[in-house]
Amino acid sequence: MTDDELLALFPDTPVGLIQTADSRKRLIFPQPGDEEKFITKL
Amino acid sequence: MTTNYKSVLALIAAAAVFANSSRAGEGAQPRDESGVTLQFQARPQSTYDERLPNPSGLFPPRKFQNLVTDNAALEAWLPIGPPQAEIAIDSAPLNEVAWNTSRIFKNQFDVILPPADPGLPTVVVQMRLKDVRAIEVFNAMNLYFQAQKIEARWTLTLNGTRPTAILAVLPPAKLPVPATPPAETEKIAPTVFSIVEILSPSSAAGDKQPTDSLADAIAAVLDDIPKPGRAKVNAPGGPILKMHAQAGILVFSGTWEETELVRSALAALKDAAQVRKNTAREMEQRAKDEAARKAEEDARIKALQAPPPKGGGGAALQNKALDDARNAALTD
Repeated sequence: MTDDELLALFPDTPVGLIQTADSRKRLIFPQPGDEEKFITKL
Repeated sequence: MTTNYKSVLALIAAAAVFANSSRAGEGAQPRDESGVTLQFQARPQSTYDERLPNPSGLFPPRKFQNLVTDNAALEAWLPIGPPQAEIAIDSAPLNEVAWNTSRIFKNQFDVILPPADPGLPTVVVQMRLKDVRAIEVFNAMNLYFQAQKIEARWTLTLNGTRPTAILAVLPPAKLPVPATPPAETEKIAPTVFSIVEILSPSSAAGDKQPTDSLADAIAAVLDDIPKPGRAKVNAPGGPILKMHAQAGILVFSGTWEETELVRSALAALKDAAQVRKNTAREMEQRAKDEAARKAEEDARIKALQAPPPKGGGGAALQNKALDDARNAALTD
C-alpha cells in the first residue's frame, strides 16, 4: 500500500504522513479526536 | 316607601344576575355598566353526573373520552344497563365476547366487527368484572387490549340514534427502529487498524517478509471461515486486506463479521508480540548479567595472576582492576 493510497483513506480530513528518525512513518491528524475516530487501536 | 321597595327589588335582581354569572364560570364574561369586563374563575365541580346536562355548558374532561366518539354517544351509552353483578369472561374469542355482551344487555346496542379479520378469533379475552354497565365492559376490554399490547380498540358511537360499538384493528405502531449493528454479511466501511505494536522494528523499517507473513496469517484466518461461495481475501468479491508497514497500518474492508474476526486475530497477535518482547528483554538482561559476571571473574583471575607491584599498594590496585572490569562489563 503506497503513501498516497493510505492518505486517500481519509477524504475530507486533515491528515499527514511524517517520517521519523527510525525510518518509520506515522499518520498525523491535526484535528483533535480524528485519530481516535479513524484509527482502531487494538 | 315605594322607593325603598324598588331599591330592594333592584338589589335582589342584581344579586340574582351576579349569582348566575358566577355559575356560568369562565365562559361568561359579563360587563358592568362602566364597560369593564368582569371575569369569574370557574370553580372545579366536585361531582358531575355525565347523564345530566351541565348547567354551565362547559364539560370537564369527558369520562370514557378515549372510548366514545362524542357527548351524544356518551349520553346514549351511559344508561345502557342495568349494571351486571358479575361478568366473567374466561379465554373467550373477541367476537364471542362482543355478541354475548350485546345479549346480556338485551341488545340495546349493536356491534360492528372488522370483516373477515383472520387475526380476530385468536384474540382471547379473559377478565372478571363486577357491577358494570355496558360502557364499562367495553372500557375494560380496551384497558385489557392496552395492557396486553393487542392492537385493537373499541369505539362507542351512535348509528343514527342506535348505540353502536365498533371494533377497530389498529395499524401496527411505527416504532423507532433501534440502532442495530449491521448484519454480519453486510459490507462495512474499511477499518484502519494500528499494528505498530505487532510489527517488529525490522518490518517497520521496510523489511517486507514479516509484514507479508502477517498479512498471510490474517488472510489464512479469514479463509478458514467455512462459508460456501465465499470469495478469498483480495480476490474479486472478497474482503480486501492492505498494509502500510512503515506506518504500521493495516486496512481491512469486509463484512462486519470478517472485520470482527480480523480485530480478534490482531489483538491475539499483539498479545503474542508483547509476550515475545518481554521474553526477549528478559533474555537480553540475563545475557548482560552473565557477561558482567564472567568479566568480573576474568578480572579477578587476572588480578590474582598478576605479580604484586613493587613498593606496596598491591591490594588497592587489584581492587581498582576489579572495579574497572565490572564497570566495563556493565557498560557493555
